[in-house]
Amino acid sequence: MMEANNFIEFHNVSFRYDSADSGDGEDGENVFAVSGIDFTVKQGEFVGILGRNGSGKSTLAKLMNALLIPTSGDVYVNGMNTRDASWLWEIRKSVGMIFQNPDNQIVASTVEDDVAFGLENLGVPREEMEPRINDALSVVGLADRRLKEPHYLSGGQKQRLAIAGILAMRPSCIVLDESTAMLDPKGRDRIISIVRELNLREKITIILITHHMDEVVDCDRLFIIDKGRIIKSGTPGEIFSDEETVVGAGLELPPVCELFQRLGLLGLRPGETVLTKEAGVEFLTGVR
Amino acid sequence: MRISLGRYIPGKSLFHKADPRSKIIWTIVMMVFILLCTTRWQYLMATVFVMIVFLISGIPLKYILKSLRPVAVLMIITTVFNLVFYKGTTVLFAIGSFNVYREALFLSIKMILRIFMLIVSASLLTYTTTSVAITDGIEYLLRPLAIIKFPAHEIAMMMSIALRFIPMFADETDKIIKAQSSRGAEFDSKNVFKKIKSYVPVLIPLFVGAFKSAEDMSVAMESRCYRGGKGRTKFKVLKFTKYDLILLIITAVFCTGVILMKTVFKI
Amino acid sequence: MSIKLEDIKYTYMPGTPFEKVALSDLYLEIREGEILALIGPTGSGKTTLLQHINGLLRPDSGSVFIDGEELTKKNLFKIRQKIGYVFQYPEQQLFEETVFKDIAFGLNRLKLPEDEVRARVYDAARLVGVSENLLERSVFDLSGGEKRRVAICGVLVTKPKYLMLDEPASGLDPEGKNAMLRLLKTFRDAGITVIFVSHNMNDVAETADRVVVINDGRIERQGTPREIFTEHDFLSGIGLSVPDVTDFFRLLSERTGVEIPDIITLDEGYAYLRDVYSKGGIPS
Repeated sequence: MMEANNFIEFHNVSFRYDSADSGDGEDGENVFAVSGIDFTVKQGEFVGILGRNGSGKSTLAKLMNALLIPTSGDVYVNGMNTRDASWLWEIRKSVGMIFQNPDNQIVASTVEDDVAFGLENLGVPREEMEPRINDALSVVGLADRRLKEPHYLSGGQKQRLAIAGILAMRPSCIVLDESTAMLDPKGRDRIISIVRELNLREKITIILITHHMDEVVDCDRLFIIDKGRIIKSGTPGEIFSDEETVVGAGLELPPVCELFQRLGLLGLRPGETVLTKEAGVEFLTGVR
Repeated sequence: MRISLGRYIPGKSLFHKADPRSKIIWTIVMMVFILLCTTRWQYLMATVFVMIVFLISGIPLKYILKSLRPVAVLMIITTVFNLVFYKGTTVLFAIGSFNVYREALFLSIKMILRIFMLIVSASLLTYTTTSVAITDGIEYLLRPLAIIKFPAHEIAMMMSIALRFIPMFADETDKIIKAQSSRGAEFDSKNVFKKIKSYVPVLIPLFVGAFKSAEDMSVAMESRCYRGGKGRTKFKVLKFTKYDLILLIITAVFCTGVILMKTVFKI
Repeated sequence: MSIKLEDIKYTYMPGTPFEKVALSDLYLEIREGEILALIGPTGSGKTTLLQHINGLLRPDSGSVFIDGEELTKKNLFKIRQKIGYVFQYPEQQLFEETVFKDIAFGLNRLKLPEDEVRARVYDAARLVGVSENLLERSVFDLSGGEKRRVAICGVLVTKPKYLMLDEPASGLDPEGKNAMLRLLKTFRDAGITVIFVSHNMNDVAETADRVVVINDGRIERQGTPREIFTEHDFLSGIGLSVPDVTDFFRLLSERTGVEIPDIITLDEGYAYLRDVYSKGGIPS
């Protein structure tokens, strides 16, 4: 039932937290955190998921590597149903997650030990760990920090360490669940360029969950989620030309895009969406 | 917030190179034997021995002094009490109506030496061994207890995570105290009950934060395929080397010395 | 009346391997009635500076004057009534059983009559937009955005004349962020001087009356947003950026060779382009 190059498939997925472990800010009522979710992510795709705080984004992320199992519907990761416990570790190995708070996902007391943590869990032989740790740390630019204690890293460096920890496990897909929310602009740019690079070079599927619009303007595809439902999907151009939906979901247009949107309303070459500064300059100077 | 016992100082000494297991064993054995020392000759030998080992470790003296600081006050007070109130047979000198006895002086010196040696021995472990290595060592040493279903791996994992969180919580506490002071909280009340009560605005946010961190951490660990000690490999494998042999021989020499002094020579 | 910092020097953890000069040669005047944005790269001393203004940190040398009165150990409590300080992620400091009690916490030491406490809590809630039916709820039942607003109320309840906020919009979604920026203007219009730290230059350009740039513990520039954001090279040299719109028009000017006035907000950009188009478009 799965198409060959689909990496993740959601089939009519709903999820409801039990009142007992109703996490983040839910009232303890049995509300559905997400409902009726249908979508697919292709192998090697770079997908952005946008939504306001509490829209269900994190729940969606956790459904992708079997940290949560759907209340109804099915999630397939590379053809494996997350419901099937025998696939659990295979799924988690192939879908790595980077979370929001840099401090709460580093386990070990030195940088290299933390990268090793995932490998130890997988039972990777020791001789193989050394090169894998080396590679992963140099991809994220932390090779010279190997013996440092995580406490002395900046927030951005901690998130890069978290990425290295996942990379060492050789995932097919990385889900970033608001991983840039607590970083300064420099740290954020660095993370985004690293994952973009991983997507281009290593063909790793990237699912970027965020509410920073400038991070997603060159994604392959975007989804807007609100009140637990996907309310819009499409290319960044398609998404950001629909200002009403974007703003209605508690989001905003990227600044340059907003400028051109307003001009568009004046009747100046409507129907075109300008997402980046470069595109804006080209639009105005007529270089096409 | 500074924790003086336990700051690892990088180095290349015999002590640094030795396996944490031998160092843990060394520390425990040393402590036991130091406590067994009773006579002045035994004390003398133990002190000389600890000093030699200390010199080998290459740890600067000021760090050891730093770890002694918290107990210094206690040592001074007990010494003064000993000197003033302990009644012996030989009077050394008198201060006013108080006689200071020879025995009191020896008792005080012994006590100071004992605390000094205990702290130096323990500090040598923590100054030359990373917290990761210590927990690894403990895990290995506790491993035989798995037979009686003792969760050695889990306990070591908990310890290492706790160690990682300590500096974070110290920062967090500092921040919350500052934030609540900005809102007008008062922490310098003289009344003990009021003082305890005044820390509620710090403790509740701290606990709420700690629970959130713990929850996040467990999810993060699970998503990185953590499933307890079973089937896990180890990145850092502990190896018994010549350094450990040297360390254990030194320890054995010391222990034999103490035993001989106590039983054969009776000095 | 103003806040004045004179020749402040502060060293972080002196005598340890972590010793670092956090602030030096620092002079700053914050005038009443303005929204002042404090910008600077991470670790430049922004938070350290704020903590000097309400006496959480004491300078090694130099003085802080609040409305002409020097900040000392003795008048600390009195001065903190005047200077509200909203930490980054202030919702993490909530602890009382109810929202009302948490907001009122800052008044405990003042021993005010009950109806005065009530009036102040309601005033703060109204100003910040915390609806009255939340006041009896548990602070842990609120959504993230609500919690942050409640935390701000808890600072406003002492009726501060100056309000410092450390990255008030961090972690909020665009809707929450924009609401927070509007709130800063509301505070200013209510007569509260606002000092806020931000990493987002778009927000600074849209909100601040004046900008102070701090780098390496020193104040390197101060001026209106327009003055600051024309110094593109200086800002990028210390790891900061200019607003996206400014950057866009700079790029446009470079490509077309057309002289474009300094544009720092969306409104200005829109007005400029509309104007240009009405005169026949961008010549290239």
